[in-house]
Amino acid sequence: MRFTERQTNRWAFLLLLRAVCSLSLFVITIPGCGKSDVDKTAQTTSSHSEVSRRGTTIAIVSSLSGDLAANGKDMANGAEMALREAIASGMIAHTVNIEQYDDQGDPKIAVNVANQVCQNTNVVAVVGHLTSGCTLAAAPVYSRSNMPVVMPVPTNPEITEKGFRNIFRVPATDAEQAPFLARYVLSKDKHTRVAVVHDLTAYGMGFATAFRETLETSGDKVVALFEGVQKDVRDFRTLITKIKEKAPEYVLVAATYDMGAPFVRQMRELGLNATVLSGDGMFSTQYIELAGQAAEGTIVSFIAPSRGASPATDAFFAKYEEMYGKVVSFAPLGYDAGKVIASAISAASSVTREGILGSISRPEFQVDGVTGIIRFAANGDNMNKSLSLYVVRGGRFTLLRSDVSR
Amino acid sequence: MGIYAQFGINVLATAALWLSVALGLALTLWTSRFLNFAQGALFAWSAYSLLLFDRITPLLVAFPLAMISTVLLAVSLEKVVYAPMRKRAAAPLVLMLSSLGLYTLLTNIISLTFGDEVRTVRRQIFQDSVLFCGAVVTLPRVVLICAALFLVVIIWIVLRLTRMGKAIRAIAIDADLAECCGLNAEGHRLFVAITSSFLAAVAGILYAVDVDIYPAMGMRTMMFAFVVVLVARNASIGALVGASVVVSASMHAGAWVIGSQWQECCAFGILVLSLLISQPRNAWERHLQVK
Repeated sequence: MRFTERQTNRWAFLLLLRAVCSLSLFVITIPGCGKSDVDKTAQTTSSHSEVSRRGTTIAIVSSLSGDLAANGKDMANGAEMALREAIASGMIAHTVNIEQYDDQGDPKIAVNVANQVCQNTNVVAVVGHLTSGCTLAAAPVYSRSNMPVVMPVPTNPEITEKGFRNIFRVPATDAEQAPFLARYVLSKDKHTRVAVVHDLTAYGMGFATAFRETLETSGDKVVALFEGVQKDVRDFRTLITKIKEKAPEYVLVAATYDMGAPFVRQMRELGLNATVLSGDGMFSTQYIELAGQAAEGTIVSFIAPSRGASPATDAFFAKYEEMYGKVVSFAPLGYDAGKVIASAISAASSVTREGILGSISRPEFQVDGVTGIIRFAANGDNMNKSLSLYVVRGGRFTLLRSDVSR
Repeated sequence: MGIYAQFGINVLATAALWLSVALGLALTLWTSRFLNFAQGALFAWSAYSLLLFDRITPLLVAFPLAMISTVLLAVSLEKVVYAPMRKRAAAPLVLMLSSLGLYTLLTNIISLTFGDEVRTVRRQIFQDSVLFCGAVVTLPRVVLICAALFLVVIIWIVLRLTRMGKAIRAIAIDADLAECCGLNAEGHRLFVAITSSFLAAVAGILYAVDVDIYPAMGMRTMMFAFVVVLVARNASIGALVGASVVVSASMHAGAWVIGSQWQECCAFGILVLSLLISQPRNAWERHLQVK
């Protein structure tokens, strides 16, 4: 059988195309390929020695991809920085590995990651997750394995109300943060009108509910509208039209920045000039970048001090920026969570899950972090409630009010 | 008055977005007998192309370049994947599953290249708005509504009044018979792929400047475009226009009356109702008819 030159060329082309397609598919589908940071971290940490690959591991679980990747990477970098510092200073053994895991901000994936982490007997402690939804979903898995977990960011109070003995939280909860913001609103005008919008997530709903409850204690009918919307919708104009009809002076957007930014932009487009309020979910440079001019005037409550709050925070910001670039949002909290784990390992009788848990659970256990002195109550919450209000002015978050109760 | 006008504009803008993608889906369904899920990836591809070209060229140049890149990608998919599969007599289900695979592949490529973070192409001109009967309408939404109407009319004229349109309708009714009569079915399918991708590109680019850009942005729009095609019974362009307005109106009315969290439920409710009311079994059988 003879082939014409055209046929041969065609076959050669198809063969080449298949090879390219197969290679692309392989590159895309091999596990963890999209997690360049993860691989880099694992590789760098494991390069010390062959023994270290089989040694003790600390897992950092965050949303390294997905809509909240900017915040997730920021938090993970902060935690990694603290652990690296601890290794460099000899506080913990140099054979300790640091591994990053990605829950993509999805509670279902968070459960899978938690199972994966718990099944790895080398993993002795976890810093994570980024969102309350992911943590709520994964918490029972960690609890069954007696895995010490330090939460750098999740603020939903339910997590520590479930009675898990192995879960500890660095930031103040929404039960403290949302009333703090609500009290600020009431301090301005007790008879004001507020519209409350949340993103139907554990974080958004929890924050919005706590905020509403505080406002309702004032006795007046302050909450003009309380509504949830799925953040994937992205076109919120009908909801905004509905809010506009109520003519509120404040609109609380209890959501993360990926929903908050388009929401606020569309609010301004439709001529709704109410002051935007939000929780820590929108405290991100990404929010200002995405919302642009519309972000101006937004009042955001946050759960960590900003640059300039103390020499320790200044030193942290400078060092972080040297290593990873600009702080997006949660790096100080990630750093403190990492520091808690490092201190617990250092003080533990044995570097095991039980040993670390015993170490953190001791009443005298305390860590001097960037966010202040961290001491855990019996339920795992931090007794140091560091809260601040920021306002967006000139394209940056400016401190409006801060409150630290210990 | 202003509130009702605003509601109407919101309905029309959403309907225009879905219609642009649904029309492309329907054209492919008529001529190639499968639902091309890759249309959702083309939607996202056009938005990311705009983001890329916006960095290196003036915005006015970036728009056509983004459209051209999307059309070129669609032509590549047609030539490299769909045409060879049809040549091997692949079943419509196989083609549909392949398109789903392509959607995943392209979305992952976008995600790997640009990252998962939400991006935006922001210019003051996109935020400038006009007042229409008391309703505020931004420029991208005005352009989206006008572009969708214009493209629908053009496609209707092409299908009804040109030789090309007649050929496409013939292929839609019976591709084998049309080929026996000397029509180049593959050539016409390529034309349909170009038209569909152009529609997806227009919708994707206008969505990008109006809202945001993120890798999975195509799936939700695809899903609702699919609902529009099903509600329209895939019968005619007029039915697609009607269905897009009805589904969009039900979604916005749901958000207005019941609550925003139920708006998608209302849109799918219309789908279920339409399937219950008008004999769903015949709907697929009648999909060959192009009126």
